[in-house]
Amino acid sequence: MRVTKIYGTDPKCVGCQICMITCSEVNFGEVDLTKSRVRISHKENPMDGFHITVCTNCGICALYCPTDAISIVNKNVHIDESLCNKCGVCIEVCPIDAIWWSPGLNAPNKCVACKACVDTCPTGALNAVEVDLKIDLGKRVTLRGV
Amino acid sequence: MYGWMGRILRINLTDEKIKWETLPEDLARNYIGGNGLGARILWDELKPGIDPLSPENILVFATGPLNGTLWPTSGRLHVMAKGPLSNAWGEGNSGGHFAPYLKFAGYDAIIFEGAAKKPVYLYIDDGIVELRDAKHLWGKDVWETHEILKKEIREDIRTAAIGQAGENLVRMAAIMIDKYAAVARSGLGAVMGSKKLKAIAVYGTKQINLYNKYRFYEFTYQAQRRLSSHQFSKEVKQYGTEILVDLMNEIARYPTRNFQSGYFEQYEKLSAHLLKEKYRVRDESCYACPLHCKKYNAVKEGKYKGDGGLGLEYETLNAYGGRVGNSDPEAVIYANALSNKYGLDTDDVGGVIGFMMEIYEKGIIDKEFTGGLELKWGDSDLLIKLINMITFREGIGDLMAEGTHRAALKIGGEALYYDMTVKGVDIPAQDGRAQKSMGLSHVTSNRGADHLTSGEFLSEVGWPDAIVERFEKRAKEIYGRSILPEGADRLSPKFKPLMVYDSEHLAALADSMVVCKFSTHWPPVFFFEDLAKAVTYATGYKYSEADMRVIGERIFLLERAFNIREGLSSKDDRLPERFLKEPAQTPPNKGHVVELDEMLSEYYRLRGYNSEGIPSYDRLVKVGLEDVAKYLYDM
Repeated sequence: MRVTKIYGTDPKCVGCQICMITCSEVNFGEVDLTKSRVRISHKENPMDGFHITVCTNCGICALYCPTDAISIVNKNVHIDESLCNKCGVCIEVCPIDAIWWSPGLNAPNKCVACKACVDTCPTGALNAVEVDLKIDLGKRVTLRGV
Repeated sequence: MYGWMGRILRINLTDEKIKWETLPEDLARNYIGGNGLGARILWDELKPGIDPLSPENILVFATGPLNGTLWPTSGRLHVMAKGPLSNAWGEGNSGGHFAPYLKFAGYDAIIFEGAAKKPVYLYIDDGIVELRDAKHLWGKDVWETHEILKKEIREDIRTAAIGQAGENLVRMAAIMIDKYAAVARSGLGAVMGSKKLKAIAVYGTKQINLYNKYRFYEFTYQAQRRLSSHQFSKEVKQYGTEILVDLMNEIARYPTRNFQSGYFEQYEKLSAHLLKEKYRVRDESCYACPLHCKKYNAVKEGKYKGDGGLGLEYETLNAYGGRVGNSDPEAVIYANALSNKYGLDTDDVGGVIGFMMEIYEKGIIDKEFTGGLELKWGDSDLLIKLINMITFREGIGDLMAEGTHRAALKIGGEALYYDMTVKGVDIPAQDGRAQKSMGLSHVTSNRGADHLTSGEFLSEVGWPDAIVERFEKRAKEIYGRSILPEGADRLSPKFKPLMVYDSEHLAALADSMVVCKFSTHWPPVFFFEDLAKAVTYATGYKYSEADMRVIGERIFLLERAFNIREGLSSKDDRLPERFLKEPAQTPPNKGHVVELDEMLSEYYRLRGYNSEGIPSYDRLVKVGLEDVAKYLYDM
């Protein structure tokens, strides 16, 4: 199964936040940086610049979602809001902390691989490629129906 | 209201009263924001003739309708008050991320009145506005203050703070945004210090409503691409303003040893290529800007080893470089970081140090006067020492902290000839003899000597296409002939008054929106029409190109009227004698002086000023400043 992997190259990031503005505008129709699905943060030492946090669609969250709300839709690891019970397990298991709660949303906030940020990044710090999904969805730990 | 947040925060520091006010719709519509908003507020509320460092002064932080959106370079903030250096209109502009967050918190502007009895800082987080005790911050430098506030409040807080320079009322003090961006000119840090306001910390999550979201973003994405892919953007991205050291020395426009020359023999040591190779760590960008012109430098070894911080600009590379005869790039990086920590305007500090070095060289002051210091050109240790002395007002630093002009007046006699200021503000690193429009700009600018009030950079490079695009129509209207070839010749005074006059309107408009001149003036990407479109889609008020020109002129004339009310007149529109009498020494400008009288009389005619430099009644009424006209003409 193929998925779209969005990844950031930290040294190229200049911290302009254009990706965050674009993301919230494209996905929510408003500039609200707290709703952005990509995050730019300062590294501890100011000399090291910025860190880009964005979901790489590794699919690990899908393994652990107790309600099977996470599945692969259109080459993207997708959270189905109607199935989500807001337990936050996906946030806990994410290896790169790319899923988070944003105020005013019904499910954890996660990249939908629309690639708007990739298109607008002025320095090419964000890129998208198609890769094979490395996890086996058959091994899901599911609690549904238990 | 669309585009604007519709709210102003008014804070009286004397009795710690915080008031929410609605942004009047006609004010927003006619003045847009930024400097327009501030000019109107200061004109309406400030008592004429007050001491800028007294509690009666009003400090305004203002944003515009485009801040906080995706519009390129919309991260800028405009700050205004009566300036402690010029005793007249004072303003400063800075990049960073503060202005968008101020709007996310829900405010277009903050007005500070009065003065606190003990140090305070202002905390804003969406609906929360608090004046908090700043006892633990007072005496700390800007970087420490920023870090403490970050720990105290939250990681992504944005701050505007003063350092020790502002606390000690150094007239050249800047307000620092976060750690590295400065509201540098006019000495507004001293105003903040006089109000005992150490810092403002802001965070917010509110949305900015846009009138036509779809059209606005369609246009804005286009604008981002246009700016990012412009042929001159590449250089800006790669070197920032550092590259100007090389370019300016090529055309001998790089002030050296307090304007004795326009060419610095050792400029290669400060060259952008060398800085990039040896000291560059990374790039950084302001909010929503694709240009990332700010460069982070660090010195890896030697006595100036350390974190140089962001944003070593051309102005600093001159002020702490050629202007004081210093060719050690590591000392410049160190001095720049030190100025950022103390909160100093490097332009003015370099200016006053250069001035003292020159009058010492000429024998006007001696070792007794300087307290045993030998003020030698190019002594980098001395440079660092003097920056410390100015900040803490030690010894001779106490006099220097008053700024070049006041120091020159105090020393008197021959020293006045070497006072390179206009309206009390040091001339930035732009020699008017090597570019005539700059010579005129320094004089006509409302905040004192300044290259950004007009931002006329097109004749400097002599780029005919852009000059024709921007000024040809106006030249044909007014003079009935083409602006070329003289318009593109930086050494010809011809057409320069028109170019400065027209550029001033664009600059006033850019400052009211508040966007960076790195998109409107150089590289010359956005013009009146683009700004009109953007602000129309954002706010819903229909602006045409002609409206934009009128608004630019309205703001500029209002600032001028403010200066007239403070007692300035045509006699203050003078350049230092050196620019008028002492010809440039180095080719290709050899023998050139600034033909000021010729240009200024033409400029007065275009602006509609009378012989005393007062805008004419009709012109003021024409741009919608009837009340101002009535005041100026006692009616």
